[in-house]
Amino acid sequence: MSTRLPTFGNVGLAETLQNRRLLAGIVVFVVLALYPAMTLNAYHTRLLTWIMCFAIAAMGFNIVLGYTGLLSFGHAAFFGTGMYTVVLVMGRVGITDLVAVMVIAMVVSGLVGAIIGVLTVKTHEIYFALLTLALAQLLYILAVRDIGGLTRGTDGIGVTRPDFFGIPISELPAQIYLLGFYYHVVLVALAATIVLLWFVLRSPFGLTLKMIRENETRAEMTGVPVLRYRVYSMILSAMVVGLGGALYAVLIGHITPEYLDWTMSGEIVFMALLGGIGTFFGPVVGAGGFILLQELALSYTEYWHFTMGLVLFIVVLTLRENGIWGGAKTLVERLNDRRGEQ
Amino acid sequence: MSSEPILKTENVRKDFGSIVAVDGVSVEFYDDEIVGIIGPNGAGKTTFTNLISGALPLTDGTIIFDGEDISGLQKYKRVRRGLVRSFQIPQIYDEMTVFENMQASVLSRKQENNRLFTPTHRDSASVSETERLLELFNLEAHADDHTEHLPHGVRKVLDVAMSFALEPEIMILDEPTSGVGSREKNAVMETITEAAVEQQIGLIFIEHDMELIRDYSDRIVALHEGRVLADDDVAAVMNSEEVNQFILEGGV
Repeated sequence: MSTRLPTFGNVGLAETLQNRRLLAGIVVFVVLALYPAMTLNAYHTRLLTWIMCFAIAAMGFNIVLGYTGLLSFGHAAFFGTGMYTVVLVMGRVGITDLVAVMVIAMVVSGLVGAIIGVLTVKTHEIYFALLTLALAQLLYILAVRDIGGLTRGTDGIGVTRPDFFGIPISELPAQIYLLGFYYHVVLVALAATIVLLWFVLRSPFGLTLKMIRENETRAEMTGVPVLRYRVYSMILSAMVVGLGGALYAVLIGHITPEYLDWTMSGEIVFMALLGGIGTFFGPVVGAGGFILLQELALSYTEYWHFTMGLVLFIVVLTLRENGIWGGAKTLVERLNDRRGEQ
Repeated sequence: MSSEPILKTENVRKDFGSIVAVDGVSVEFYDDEIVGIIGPNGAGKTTFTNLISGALPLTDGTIIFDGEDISGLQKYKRVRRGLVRSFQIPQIYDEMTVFENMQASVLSRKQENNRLFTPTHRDSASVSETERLLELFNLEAHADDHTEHLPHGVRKVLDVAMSFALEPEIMILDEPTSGVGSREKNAVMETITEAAVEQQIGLIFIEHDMELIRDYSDRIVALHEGRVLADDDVAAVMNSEEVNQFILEGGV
């Protein structure tokens, strides 16, 4: 039983390096950080930035699906809100610092999450999915119809380049800006999201979300204000998804309402399912798998939707909530066991 | 017996459409006694306990807990005040280990659900308390098992133990031994009542097994068609003519 209580204060460097998962994480981070400089491959770097933006969004989404146990079909609302906030804050308000813009985007997405959360909190399962879908489509229509003259409808709006703590990075040549600088911003954001969520989801707060997922009646009868915690999880989820959207907006440089549409929500759900909603890193793997698969399928066939659907069908049927990531973990464990037996 | 009742119902009533499930029940409960609730199927036993825990809204009447009117209080707030129930069909968290199930109760009692960043397995206060509780209920061997694979009897004990972890003033048990093998029934009841006496928790338990009622109750409340038929010590209720006529001979 004493193994449950590793002392936190005096963990030395040597001990940290013995933690294989942490070590693997650091290695992956360093390799990714060096990748653009090593390969000078613009296409790959852009693809990786794209994947990382969606990895953040998929992780945020999975707080609600994987931990609180609610299937939302309206997470495009938070992704799109993050994107439009970037444009509006830079274009209309005149705040151009990248970090400030990202923080504002997260706060605004969190607010939208709170509103949608409060409106949907009493519904379950299919009703929750439909209600979140309907509310997200409402935002989509607002953006398409250009109500208030903010979004310029389906034409979309261009995103100007942000500043970074007074450094005029917007004047950098395009290659250096996108491949060098911005890639690393997104990488750090993803790493920070992973570390933060790793702790949050293992804390009493994360356990409370799991209690609600596993047995709402029991959670309530254990003294947990279930509805309030469901709203909390929506807010946290919306903030993380909004960050993903905001980072993606700066990457692509042009925003249209389609990022608020239900197909966007569907893609986020797809990524989480593909990677494994029952695992912590599943959504990250799912985002990578989804985007790579899409690129691959697009280059071979115009029926790429069919290919994607087939893959998801097979993954969900065979691996269920474990997805690709959970399946890979199980495989490695089995191989290790077999090696141990010999 | 304590001078003030910890829980008191006054003319509590529940209608489902034209059916009156609980028809004006007034009973007092104290925090140092074990009360058995008996009655034939449809007598309103479960409905009555659901009214107390807040799972169902009252049609009429008042519920007083610790001197305060809690008739309209939300469920989780009643729990936080010390009015706790366990379930006839175990309500536990399946995709979690026994340890996590128990720790979830411990952390919730301390109202630490909103704590971020400290991983639960590093929270030494709740970890050691969870270990102590698992030992008290003989569950330590199952600590790392996922609950979905546990035998029914163990799930039942865990369900009760999780309610005990909330350190209630009074606890309602809805058939604590249902589904438990007849040989283990006494062991389960022993464990529960010993823990209740030790921690000074008042118990209210619904039970169909008259042996258990006779052996473990200090007092019996007999319900029939939503009304209190008898409310007295064990011998008096068991010997009451009305109780015998409506309940005991009815082959409950």
